[in-house]
Amino acid sequence: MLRHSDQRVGRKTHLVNPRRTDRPHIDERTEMAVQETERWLEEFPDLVRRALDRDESAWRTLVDRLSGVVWKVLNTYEMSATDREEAFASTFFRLYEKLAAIHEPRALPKWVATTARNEANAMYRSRKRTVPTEELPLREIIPGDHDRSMLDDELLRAVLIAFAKLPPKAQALLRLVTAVPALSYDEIGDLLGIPHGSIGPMRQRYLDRLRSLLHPYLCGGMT
Amino acid sequence: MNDDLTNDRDLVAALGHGLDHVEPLPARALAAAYGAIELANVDAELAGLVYDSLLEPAAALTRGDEGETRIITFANDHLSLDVALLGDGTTIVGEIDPADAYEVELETVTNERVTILVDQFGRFRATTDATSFRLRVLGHLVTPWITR
Repeated sequence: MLRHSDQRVGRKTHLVNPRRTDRPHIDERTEMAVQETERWLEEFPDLVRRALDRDESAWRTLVDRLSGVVWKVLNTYEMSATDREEAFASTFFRLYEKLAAIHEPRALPKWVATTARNEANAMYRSRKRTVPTEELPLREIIPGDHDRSMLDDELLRAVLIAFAKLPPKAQALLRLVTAVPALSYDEIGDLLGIPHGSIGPMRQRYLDRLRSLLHPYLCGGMT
Repeated sequence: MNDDLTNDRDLVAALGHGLDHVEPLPARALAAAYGAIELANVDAELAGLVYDSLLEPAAALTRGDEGETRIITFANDHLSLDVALLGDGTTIVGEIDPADAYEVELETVTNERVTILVDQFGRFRATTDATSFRLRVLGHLVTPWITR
């Protein structure tokens, strides 16, 4: 399948050496993400206070640090690119409106994630003119959706191709698992309407599935 | 060595890194979010939500396939504003009380502004494709952001 996808975009099908990349070492990147998340959470109270005093640079920093979570959440649902961008912007407009009322700045990632989901749902209901209880459908990436991207890294491309073979629910859960700052299992469960206790086992099952789809690539069997 | 992705943490990191590459946040959306601080309602003109037909429990039962009019009322110490979002998805009809020939502007989250004519009875009509916007009665009232 990998080979097939590669042909579709006219890339070389022979993977010379998957380990020769310009990507930062994955382990370092993970460590960095963990440390960054903790540092960011500690800085949120000060950034919120300064943003309320109309300090533009503090607000921009706050947006920068929360944008990843909001964008991941919005990419989890099926919506047009324009709606996704508008929901992104309106999430931050709501955040600024409510900033003074947020007493626990460390809960900001959760707050923006929930708000983004609500904004997307409101748009969906408006577009469909349907009953207010209907929920947004999950987005499904299918093989080929991402292949045309300018992603030169062979390993990451293989991961994305494997990801595209997972069912929508697995894609949604794993996408939210990659958010930085990290969302808790409870928060992910709330966003997807899945019982909290199921998130851990589902995450494990989907990661195992992803890894098994990657198996041919990781074993160097792609020629 | 972690490129074999046997470790879950490495696999999650690789997936996150890959998704960031192929689903980048558009600069335009980020710029709009930055702009929230400039466009924020910080004055006494900000109106509170008094009524929203969408929040009525009966809404789920009465709304049909065609989409019905959503009525929202905002008020501050100066004015009240009734807004009707028509079922066509673009038309907005408003009425300001007490009535006067105010100047009204419609603002979108992408910072577009449209001036709306208001008649002597405080009534106006406008159309917009934007799903998130707010209305400003210049010098008197501004609504919170409305998502259609």
